[in-house]
Amino acid sequence: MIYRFLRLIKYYLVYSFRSRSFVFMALLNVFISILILLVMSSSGTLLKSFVPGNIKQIELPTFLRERVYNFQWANILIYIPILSAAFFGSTAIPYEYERGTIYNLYSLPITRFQFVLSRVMGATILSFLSTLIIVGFQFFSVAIYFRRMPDDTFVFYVLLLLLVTFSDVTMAVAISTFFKNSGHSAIAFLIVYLVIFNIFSLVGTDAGIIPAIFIKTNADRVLYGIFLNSDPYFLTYSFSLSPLPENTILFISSILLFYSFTSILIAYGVTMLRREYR
Amino acid sequence: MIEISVDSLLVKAGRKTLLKIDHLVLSSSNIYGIVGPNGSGKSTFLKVLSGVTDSYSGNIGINGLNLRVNKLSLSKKMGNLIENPSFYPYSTPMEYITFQAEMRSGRKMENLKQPEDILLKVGLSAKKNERIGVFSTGELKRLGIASAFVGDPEIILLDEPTENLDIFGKDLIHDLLNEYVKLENKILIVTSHDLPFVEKVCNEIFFLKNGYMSGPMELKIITRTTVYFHENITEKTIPVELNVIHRGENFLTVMGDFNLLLDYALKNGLRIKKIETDNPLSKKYKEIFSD
Repeated sequence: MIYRFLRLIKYYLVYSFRSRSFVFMALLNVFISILILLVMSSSGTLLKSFVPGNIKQIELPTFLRERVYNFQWANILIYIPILSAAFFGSTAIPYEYERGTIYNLYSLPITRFQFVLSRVMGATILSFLSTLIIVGFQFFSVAIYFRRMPDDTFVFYVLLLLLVTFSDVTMAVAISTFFKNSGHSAIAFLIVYLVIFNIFSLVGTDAGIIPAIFIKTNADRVLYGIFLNSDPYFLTYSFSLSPLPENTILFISSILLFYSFTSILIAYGVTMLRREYR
Repeated sequence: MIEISVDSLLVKAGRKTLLKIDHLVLSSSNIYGIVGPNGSGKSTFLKVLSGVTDSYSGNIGINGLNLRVNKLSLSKKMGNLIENPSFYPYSTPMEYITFQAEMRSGRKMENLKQPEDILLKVGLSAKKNERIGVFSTGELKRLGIASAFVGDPEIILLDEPTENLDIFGKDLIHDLLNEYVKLENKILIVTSHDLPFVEKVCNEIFFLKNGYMSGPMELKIITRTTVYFHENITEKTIPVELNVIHRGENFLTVMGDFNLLLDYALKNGLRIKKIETDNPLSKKYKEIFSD
């Protein structure tokens, strides 16, 4: 049973790694990373334009350089898990319908739950790996600009990124089970994430129905705040977690995990209810 | 001995009945054919049998085990080709066939001889490591058939196996089916619009009309072929081995294989005007579905 499940993930990954969509996403992330590196190298010139007078060189204090550095990388990075989820999570199951491979998969000795979970795991791995490309560039750029290696909190940084990616992908997969067209499901996921959740957040919070933090987009934003290290009174070096209490981080993480497991159950439920006659 | 029993099977989509079979028993070692016009429920029947859908009422048993309850264990014994075969374009035939075999057996294949053999039998051996995305429709069909046969399944379900195949492909599939059914404890169910093919390979044929099944028709009558010549053949001596059942001034009618007759015509300098095949299955098909 476990072997079949792992084999299902492996085959999905093998053909996905060769697919144009993964290569495209990987190259896109490389391109984005190079752009950020270029922006970083020109940030001194940009800053000069805000300074009156004929100042030839500006030397920022290290803590400010680190803040600029954090902002530049993380401000882009936070969009990558969402886009990757729309790219891989939203297409993982509808792609099987579009190609007609679903009939073969359903006739194999696997349960629907294994099938759904294999697609969630596969799409999470693909999304996370493509996100790691940017993180990799970020990691090495530390050595270039600050002549030092990132501190220990880098591991937490990556783990939190994995959690966000997993949570986004599960939601994308859950929404995709309502569709047989991967394009439609990707758009539906982005609409739900970017529009519906925000409207629900405004209305629900305003009416006092639900605390804002329970809305996924808000929970995500708290974690993004950590990536950005955006607390102005906490100016230690990048990758350090912002001064959120550990309990808050655990609380946010559990909210995202709750969304993930609920999404998996929804995906399983919808898959079970579908009738595959035509 | 494998036995598939179907009792009170009813598949509905809304109010429309897609498939209704009161009682049906299929046993090894046979090749069953299911024919019927488009939308008659052939593919639905195979989807139900293969466990792709369990939205049906009634009971399907395989060797006494309920398919709905024992889907996981029974699907290990099944190979199938349902709908038009579709694959992952960035994968290779060898990877796909190995994947199918390993999923059915539940363990890693140490020896890749079986996937290689099956690819050889369907004529894809030379392309076993090429990307599936560049394959023609006929090659995809061959690969789909190979995937149904790999892993030595006891039950094989084939939906339109000859569609998009050239004459060589059809011959390969014909040989593969015959070789398979000679083995013990195997059942093969084929749905097709290709009536000559069904007639050629199947032992029993069922007809599906608007979801309702009738049959079986046992094929004891062999195809009759009439060959017309430009020349008058009244004076010609016709060898007995040609199996001629009827002759006229410029035509000969033979039972079964007419290749010997074509050889005879070639040797005697007879020019063929036209060939007419009197197919008993086609007649029956038209009789049932003509309204």
